Amino acid sequence: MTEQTLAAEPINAKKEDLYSAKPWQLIWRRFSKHILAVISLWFLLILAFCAIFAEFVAPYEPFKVERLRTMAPPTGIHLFHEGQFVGPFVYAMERTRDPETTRVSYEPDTSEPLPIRLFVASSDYSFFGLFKTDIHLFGVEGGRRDQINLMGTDDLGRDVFSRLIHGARVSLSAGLVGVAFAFVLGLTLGSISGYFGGWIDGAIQRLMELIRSIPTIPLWMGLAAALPVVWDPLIVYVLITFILALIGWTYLARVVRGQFLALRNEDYVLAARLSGASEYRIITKHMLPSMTSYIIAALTLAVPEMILGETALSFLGLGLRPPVVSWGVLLQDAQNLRSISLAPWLLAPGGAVVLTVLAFNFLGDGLRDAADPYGQ
Amino acid sequence: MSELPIPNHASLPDDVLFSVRGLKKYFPIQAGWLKKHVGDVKAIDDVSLDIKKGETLGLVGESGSGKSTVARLMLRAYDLTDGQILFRRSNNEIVDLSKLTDREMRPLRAEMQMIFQDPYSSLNPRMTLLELVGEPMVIHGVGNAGEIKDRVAELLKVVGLRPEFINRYPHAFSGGQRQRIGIARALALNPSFIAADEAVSALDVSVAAQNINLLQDLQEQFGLTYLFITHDLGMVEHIADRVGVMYLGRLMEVAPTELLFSKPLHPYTEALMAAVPQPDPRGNRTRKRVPLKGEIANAANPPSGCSFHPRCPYAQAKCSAEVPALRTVAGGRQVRCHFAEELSLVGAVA
Amino acid sequence: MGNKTMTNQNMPPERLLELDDVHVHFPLREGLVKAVNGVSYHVNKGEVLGIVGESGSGKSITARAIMRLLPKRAAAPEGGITFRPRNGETYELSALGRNSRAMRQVRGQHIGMIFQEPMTALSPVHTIGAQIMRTVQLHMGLNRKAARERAIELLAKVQMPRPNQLVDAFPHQLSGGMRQRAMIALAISCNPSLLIADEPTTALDVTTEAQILELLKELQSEMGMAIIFITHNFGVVADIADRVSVMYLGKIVETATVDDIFYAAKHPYTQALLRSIPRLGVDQGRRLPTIPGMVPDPFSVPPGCAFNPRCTHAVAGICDTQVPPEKIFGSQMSRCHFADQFVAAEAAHV
Ligand SMILES: Nc1ncnc2c1ncn2[C@@H]1O[C@H](COP(=O)(O)OP(=O)(O)OP(=O)(O)O)[C@@H](O)[C@H]1O
Ligand SMILES: Nc1ncnc2c1ncn2[C@@H]1O[C@H](COP(=O)(O)OP(=O)(O)O)[C@@H](O)[C@H]1O
Ligand code: SF4
Ligand code: SF4
Ligand SMILES: [Mg+2]
Ligand SMILES: [Mg+2]
Repeated sequence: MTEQTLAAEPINAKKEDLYSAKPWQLIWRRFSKHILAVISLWFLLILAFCAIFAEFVAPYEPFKVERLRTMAPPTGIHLFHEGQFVGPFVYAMERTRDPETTRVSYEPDTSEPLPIRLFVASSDYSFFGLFKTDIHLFGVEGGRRDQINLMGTDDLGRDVFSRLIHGARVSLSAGLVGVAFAFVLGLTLGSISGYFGGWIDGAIQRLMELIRSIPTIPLWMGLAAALPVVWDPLIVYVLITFILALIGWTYLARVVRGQFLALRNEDYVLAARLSGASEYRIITKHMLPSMTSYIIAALTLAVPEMILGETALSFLGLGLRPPVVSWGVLLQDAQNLRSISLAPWLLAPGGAVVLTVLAFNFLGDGLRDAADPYGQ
Repeated sequence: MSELPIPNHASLPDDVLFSVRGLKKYFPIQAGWLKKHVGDVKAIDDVSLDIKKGETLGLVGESGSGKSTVARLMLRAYDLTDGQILFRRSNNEIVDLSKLTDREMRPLRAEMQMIFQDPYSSLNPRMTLLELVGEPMVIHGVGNAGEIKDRVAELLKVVGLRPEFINRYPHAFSGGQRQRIGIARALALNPSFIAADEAVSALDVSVAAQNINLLQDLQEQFGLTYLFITHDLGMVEHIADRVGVMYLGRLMEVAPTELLFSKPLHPYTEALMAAVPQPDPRGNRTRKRVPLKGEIANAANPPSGCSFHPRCPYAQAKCSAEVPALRTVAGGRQVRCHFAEELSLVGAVA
Repeated sequence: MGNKTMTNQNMPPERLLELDDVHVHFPLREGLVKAVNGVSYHVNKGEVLGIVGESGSGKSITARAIMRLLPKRAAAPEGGITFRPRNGETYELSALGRNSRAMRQVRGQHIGMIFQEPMTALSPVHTIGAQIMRTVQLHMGLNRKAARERAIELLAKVQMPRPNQLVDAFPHQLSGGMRQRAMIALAISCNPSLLIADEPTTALDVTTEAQILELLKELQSEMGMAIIFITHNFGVVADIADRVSVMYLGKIVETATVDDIFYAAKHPYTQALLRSIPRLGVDQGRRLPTIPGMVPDPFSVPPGCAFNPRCTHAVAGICDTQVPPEKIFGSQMSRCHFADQFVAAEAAHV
């Protein structure tokens, strides 16, 4: 009855794959072309692994004080001992004190290699409260003097690398928990604003503008100063993430509201309504699936804000406090000039913050570009 | 204000499918801090029309004249400000759609559907053809998964697409084909009425012709009634049995197609026809074509009296003072002009 | 034709622009898109050349090749483009760099361009007056005061209402039709010899479209400017063009005077397209004659005559293997193996 419009077109298997590829397959296809984003994704996955299994990955306890190993520089990793290949190993460090300046310095003791071993036994820890073990991912065997400090030690002889890994847990989770709070707030208020419009939208918009116009540092200082010092670090931690979320949600709400407004005017949403679809079905079947990729991208881009916020607060001494280890707390140790010139390795947490923030941003950019796989 | 008789449930003539009386839709204009209501866009202001079973009623007019809004009101995509919309269901029951809530409207939606202009935004890109075309059946609980699949395959065949495409996503198709997917979705529940809002305006000449033929075939096959909205006068002359001309939220004239094109009664109809360039260079050279001056007025602040008077070449003092009613004149035509009988206007067709 | 050594010397005196075998290719991941694949045409001083064709046929890309404003993805264009504006100088546009001084001068002074969407050409952060003033100050060496006067004069010339006031308006404060007028004012501000208009009325209402077409015709005869008018609307091209070129898949398939195109087309594609347009007052029966199939995707252009899979006159063994040559019949060119056999045979539709 109708013309032979498509009769002649042969079905091509390769094209058919593309034509019937699921939306997330197309998103992944697009995302994987974004090399920087893929590298960032791997980096963050590894970082997340380290943070989750910090006790296992870190060779030492974060609080273990070594009087005789303060301010030690990073241990060099070698492969050849006296011209002979022995695999990765370190030399023990000889601690010497300059008699005039009383300054401590370390010399490698090259007489004997200390091979780096995987799964070595060291300090005890409990694996998520499930069982007790003393196996660590890597380490060196030997006496107290025989240590591997990939990023040196601090003024109490604590291993910076181990502290960094434990700090990653706190900093990353602060970012994620903060984003989760912000997500709930942003999604709720953003969708109310976008879906209902009218004066509700107007009121929420004004509130968001108000919050965004407040300079953040003084606000943080005010809020953080209100937290009593004696409170349990865990409560402080939750409150800090909540403070971060109170400011961070506006960005997410804006994204959600924008998506709602854009989608509400799509003809396919009207078509669904005209087919008799309920509001619930329209939101869950048509609006949310189109929004998820945008929301995920927006969430990813919001994480670094939170991490930076936590770092800044703790660095200023307003956020988390020792004994909690977070990157901000660690950076507090590097606050004075003396330590920067004498022990630049104490800045390592700063490097971690920069890399992590960059990785989240690249990842978020990649996701955002891939979020709409149907645009051109 | 309308001089058309207002039918009730009992007096609706047998051959009428839709009967709209005194339809109004005002969109609030919001401004300021908390979006205070400061005025109204009178998108539709007193529209009355009847659509007979099996006919195609064309609706033409400049953009912003309210064509889409009329269609959306009739399908109750919007709540109306005022008016009555009688609809004859397939079981001959007559309902006033204007009184129904969203929920009460749902079962009726199977009987009236819409085809959209934009072939890109009218299909959810994240659904396969099976999900898209099958959605109305899922919503109305018609058939199990297997039956739905068979029906979708059949519908695809009906609109000239291959049933093998059932698992593809819309991005695999061209504009004209997407339009056909939209048509298949509209047909899914065997509606009696379809509003086609600029359904071929975004398509290329040759594709538009194919799809127009398809729409006409479907009308014949399934006894469909169309409200066909377009700004292409050539297209409307080809497809419509009767044509309504809209300006600034009001119907200016309704007439059988041939009469409208050969002897328009409203100055706006004449101006619209004069404006459209025809694919006929010799004809264009000889045709009298005085372009209409100015632009369509603001619907938030329409002119007094006849809303067309600031641009009307025949306007007189009365026109700015008195709103003309949509009157029924000789030949079963309706026109909204004080001087319809006195003017002798030129159509596009001799 | 097709002669690479053709230069300015043997360009006839009435010629303004000559394109000789122009190619623009896009090397994409999915394959090579030959968006413009051997286009030759000329424009004489003061004439309107209409270019029609379906979406994706290469109309806009050809225009951008003339302006040397191709998308970055395009491979270096091939072919000769010679331009001789009013000042008598001859430019080999094909040899000029995208950002060379000479090219910028040609773009600013000798060729004006207008688009479908004026907002893409107008800066949203400057008033239209400021934008016109900048161009005339740069290319005509006027001082601020004179430039402002010129801007107002230009706006009056394009029949912008209240030019003295609207000279200070931002583009977003204007309606679609007024924006288009502002863009035309900007394009003609330096008295160009050639105006390239890429679908300038497609987004406008018929009444506004008629106004803009009328305006362009007036400006053209008053300023002695030539126009390349790109559109896919045969009505518009019949209205404004002196000669017409029809494009299909990157090639010009037919060029002739507007009357010959509409009443004596010699290419099956032109004929079929014209038949598929519904026209006022022509009863074509219930079905529109259509072109079977659809435009092939640009990665798989059929060999031989690109139109052969859809052509009712195609002859196997010839049309699907040999690229048809340009056949010349006086002022008419038709790229079909059998063009001579269609003489007047299809001129029936009048
Ligand atoms: N930036 C680009 N990258 C890749 N391909 C392109 C690009 N721009 C245009 N093309 C391709 O070139 C061909 C011609 O495009 P062009 O824009 O000239 O078409 P057109 O005739 O102007 O169509 P329309 O009527 O839709 O404006 C098309 O196949 C198009 O897909
Ligand atoms: N959702 C809406 N909110 C506010 N104004 C609207 C809305 N939809 C349409 N309008 C206004 O109603 C009038 C008629 O619009 P529409 O029916 O879309 O016209 P057409 O289809 O004839 O181009 C216009 O002035 C338009 O701006
Ligand atoms: S009522 Fe007056 S202004 Fe209106 S269309 Fe008729 S003549 Fe023109
Ligand atoms: S060359 Fe052959 S296929 Fe091409 S238009 Fe002519 S007859 Fe048709
Ligand atoms: Mg509309
Ligand atoms: Mg184009």
